[in-house]
Amino acid sequence: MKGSSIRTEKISKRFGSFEALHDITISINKGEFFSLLGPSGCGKTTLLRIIAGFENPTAGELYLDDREILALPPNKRHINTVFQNYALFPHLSVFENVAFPLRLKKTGKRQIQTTVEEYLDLVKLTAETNKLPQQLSGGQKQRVAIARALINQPSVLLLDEPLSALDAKLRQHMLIELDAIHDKVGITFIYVTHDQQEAISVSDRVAVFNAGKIHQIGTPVEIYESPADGFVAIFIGETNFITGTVREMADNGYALIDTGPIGSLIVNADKKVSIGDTVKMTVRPEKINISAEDPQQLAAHVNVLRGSVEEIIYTGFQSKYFVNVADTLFRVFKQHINCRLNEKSISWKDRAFIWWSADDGYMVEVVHR
Amino acid sequence: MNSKRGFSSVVFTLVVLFFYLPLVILILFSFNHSKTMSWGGLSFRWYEELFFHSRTLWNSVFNSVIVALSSGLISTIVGTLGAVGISWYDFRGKRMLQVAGFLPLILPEIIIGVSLLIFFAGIKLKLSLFTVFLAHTTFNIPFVLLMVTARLEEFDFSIVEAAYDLGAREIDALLRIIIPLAFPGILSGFLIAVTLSLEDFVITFFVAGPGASTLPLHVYSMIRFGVSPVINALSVVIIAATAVLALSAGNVFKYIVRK
Repeated sequence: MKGSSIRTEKISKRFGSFEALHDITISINKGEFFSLLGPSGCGKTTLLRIIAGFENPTAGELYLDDREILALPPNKRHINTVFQNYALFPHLSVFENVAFPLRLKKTGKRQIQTTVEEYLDLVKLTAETNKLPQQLSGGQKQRVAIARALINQPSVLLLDEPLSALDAKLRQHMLIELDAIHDKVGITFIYVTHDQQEAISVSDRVAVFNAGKIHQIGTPVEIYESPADGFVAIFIGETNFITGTVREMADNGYALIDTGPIGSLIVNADKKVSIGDTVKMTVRPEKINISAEDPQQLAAHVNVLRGSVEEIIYTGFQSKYFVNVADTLFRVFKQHINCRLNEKSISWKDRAFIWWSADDGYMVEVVHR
Repeated sequence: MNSKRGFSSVVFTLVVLFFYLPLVILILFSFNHSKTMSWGGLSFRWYEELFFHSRTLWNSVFNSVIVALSSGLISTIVGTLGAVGISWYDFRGKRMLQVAGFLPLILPEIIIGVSLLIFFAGIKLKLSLFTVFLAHTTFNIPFVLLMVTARLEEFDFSIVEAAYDLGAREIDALLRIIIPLAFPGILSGFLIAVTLSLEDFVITFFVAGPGASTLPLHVYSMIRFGVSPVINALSVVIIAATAVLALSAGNVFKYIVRK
């Protein structure tokens, strides 16, 4: 692996009385595609700027391959940044933008020519060499910024919301290309975004931020499937929350919770709970089945509820149902796998059954008695 | 519609006349043989006098050009660096410096002139062409500051951060990124500075030492003994020179933009 590892040790940052980062400890592996995900103003960009060297933390340490680098200025860190608004030099051509770092190092003319061409080829921009930034489209500007940041062969590449200015289709496309570039150059990528879809589709691991704190660090699957808390659950995709009191503990790792009007639900006891505790549990909408008919012969540990369909949103590849069960609204997403339905179709105001496996429900918050 | 167009062309003609009629009369009378306002026939008499018998006048022109170019250059350098500092750096007292920097733009010239005179007397600096240069640099800096700041404000500071990020030292960022970007602003700042310096009368009047007369001062002293037609001839020469300069400056700008 050509990249370097990055480790932050209890980094905090205050702007006056506002605490932008609180005790951030993250260890990013060599060559990893690591995302910092969170809503705007959560501190993720501040952390990125600290790693780049544009900002100094109020407290904490920053290690690049076990070397403390906080004292180094940005131009001595072997870390390069792709800025949110690209930050291309408007008076220089595409070629000169990419060649800029080499010109500073007084690299030979022929060497510059071949290296710049190599990197423009990497980002598929060889046709625009002599254009000025203002003549490029958003996606092309993005590519110039990436080539320019990579040409110094940094050991870590920082990307600050690099796709936020592109339209949705192009964003998908660039994301795949970013992933390909990451595979090709093999260095560590640290990717800042507020878009959970972007983060979980390309990252090896994701750190979810909110209000200057880390809520969870994990692989995309871990973060989506077993969110550490309610914030992570709701920030990464849509979900349902149900609150109840633990009534019974089963020895096979399940707990029975009493949710009042909804009834008793069986849920994964993935957090330490005991009888009488109040828990908030979550279940993803696509994990819930819906049918107009009573589902029979279900496996053990399945929760079945009855409600009425309040709203149906047809989105093409799936339908979103909003089902009212004892005044609690459940979101249920159903894929349209085949359109010749052999079951009774569900329409607005219908009575419907919804059910999910106990293994798909997770506890996200526990208040001990 | 038609009457509207007629009205606007009348206004246009009046405005043009208002601007240029005095100049036309001036040009006309520079070729007048007679010394008075009555027409005495076509003659190049005053041009002859201007080019061959007006050493002190040319001396003042030379003074003016020296002061304009040197104060223009120095104030452009200081003003540009000041604009970069104020726009893109954070430091204590920045706000105050900003206000102080622009203050001379609104202060009456006579106040600047008097204060400079008192200051030079206070530090026992003998009035000379050098004090004129200092004074002109002083009042030129705010104009350059304004022009360059306006230009810099169009750009995002992140391009400077990007330069650092890519390995640039402060001086690299200044020479390779900031100055090329701000160049149109720097150039127009310089041109304004030179123009203001060339035409300044009030401040120069206070701070010019003996023998350090600039063109406006010299013209004024000539006028005190009656309007000499030599001044008409001189004005025509200046108008011609300015026109040539303005046209070529336009071409320079076009060249820069195209580049």
